[in-house]
Amino acid sequence: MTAPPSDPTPATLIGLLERVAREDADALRALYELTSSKLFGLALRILVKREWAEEVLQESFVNIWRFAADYRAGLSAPMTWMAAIVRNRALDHLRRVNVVETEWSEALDDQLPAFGPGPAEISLMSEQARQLALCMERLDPNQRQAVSLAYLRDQSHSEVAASLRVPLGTVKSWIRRGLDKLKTCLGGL
Amino acid sequence: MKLHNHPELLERLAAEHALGTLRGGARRRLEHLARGDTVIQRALATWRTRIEAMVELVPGQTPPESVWLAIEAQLGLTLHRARAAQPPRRAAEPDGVRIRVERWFESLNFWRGWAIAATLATMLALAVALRPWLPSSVGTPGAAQIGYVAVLHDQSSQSTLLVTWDDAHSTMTVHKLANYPLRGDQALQLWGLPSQGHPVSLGVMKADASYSVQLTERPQNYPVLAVSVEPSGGSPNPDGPTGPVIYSGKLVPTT
Repeated sequence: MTAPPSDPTPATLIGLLERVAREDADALRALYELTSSKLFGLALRILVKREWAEEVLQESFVNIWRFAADYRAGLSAPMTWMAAIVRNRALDHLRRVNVVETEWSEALDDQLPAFGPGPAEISLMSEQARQLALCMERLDPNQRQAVSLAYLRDQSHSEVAASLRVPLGTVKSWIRRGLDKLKTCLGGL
Repeated sequence: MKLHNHPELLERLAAEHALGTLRGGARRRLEHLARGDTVIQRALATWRTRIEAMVELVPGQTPPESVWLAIEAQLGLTLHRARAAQPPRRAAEPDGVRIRVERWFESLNFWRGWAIAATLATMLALAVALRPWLPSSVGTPGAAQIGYVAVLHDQSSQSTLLVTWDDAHSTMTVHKLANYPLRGDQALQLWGLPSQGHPVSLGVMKADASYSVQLTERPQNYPVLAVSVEPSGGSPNPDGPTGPVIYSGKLVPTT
């Protein structure tokens, strides 16, 4: 396998979103080619069930098509914007279905993609995401899991505690220490 | 208490606010304090930007090819593309037609790739599954003459559906080889995929393990069959699935 002559970058995605905003179906196809695996990984991480993740990915691209004109490059990176749509759709889906069905377990966790991007995915990532990835690496695995679960699944301390089957106080301290480390790593305000 | 005098606390609160773990009254109080206070606003915005990038950190997983087909069908993009590829004044030009066909094939290739993936499994399943239903003597007047068969499978290459098509008697018979869990308001719908143009509905599937329907459609028009999950009553879009496509397979002549 040889590397493509020029890796797509966030600027590539911005260009495609602009074309999608003008209802260019080929641009949507190209955008899908570049981002669907990343976005599907996210949906799967939140929802666990493949069929739900597929539905959410479909809904998300329908929304990307409809709302591409609302995208503002100055406000958020293109991958962040699209991934936020997927996260919101996935969280909506979780609220609609019986959440008990998707209880997190370590067994499930093993089947899911690990946290942290693969080398092939880095070119499309926003600068913010690259920095965050480096800093998340420095967290203890427990802290990283608690912090990512809280955000990706929009869970409270006690929901994270229930998901990970650990006491509430433990989760509070994992998240607090995790955020402290992130703060140190990402720098002051 | 002036949060400005406690920058450590402000950062911790802003971080928990962005993460979403600061909830209820504490969250409302912080947002109230932020009104008209640019220092707090900046802290909240900085942490929101930092944390929201977390959605980008989950590694990718390739979605099944059916998802794109469902997106395209839901948005009517095959028509979009056909129109874009055919300027009105040159509508009859062979070029335009060729582009349209090629583009449809682009997506058809997805179905096909999936349909062809499990060739061996499919042949085995076909041999086993066909036995009970094949006519015992070929050519008996009035007996079923199965001209076309398809074994549809899901993404794990499990055979899920056997379709036999007696074109001489315009009868299609569907045998379920697996059950798909449906909610009460959902149904499965069978589609024929022509080599050009949009998918054509071959009907909402009945609940029976096996059923036959009379069809005026010609099986040779549909190299690939597929099944999608739809609202009970069928896809609201007559030109294609709106729900996820769960099975597909090639429809092949038996002779």
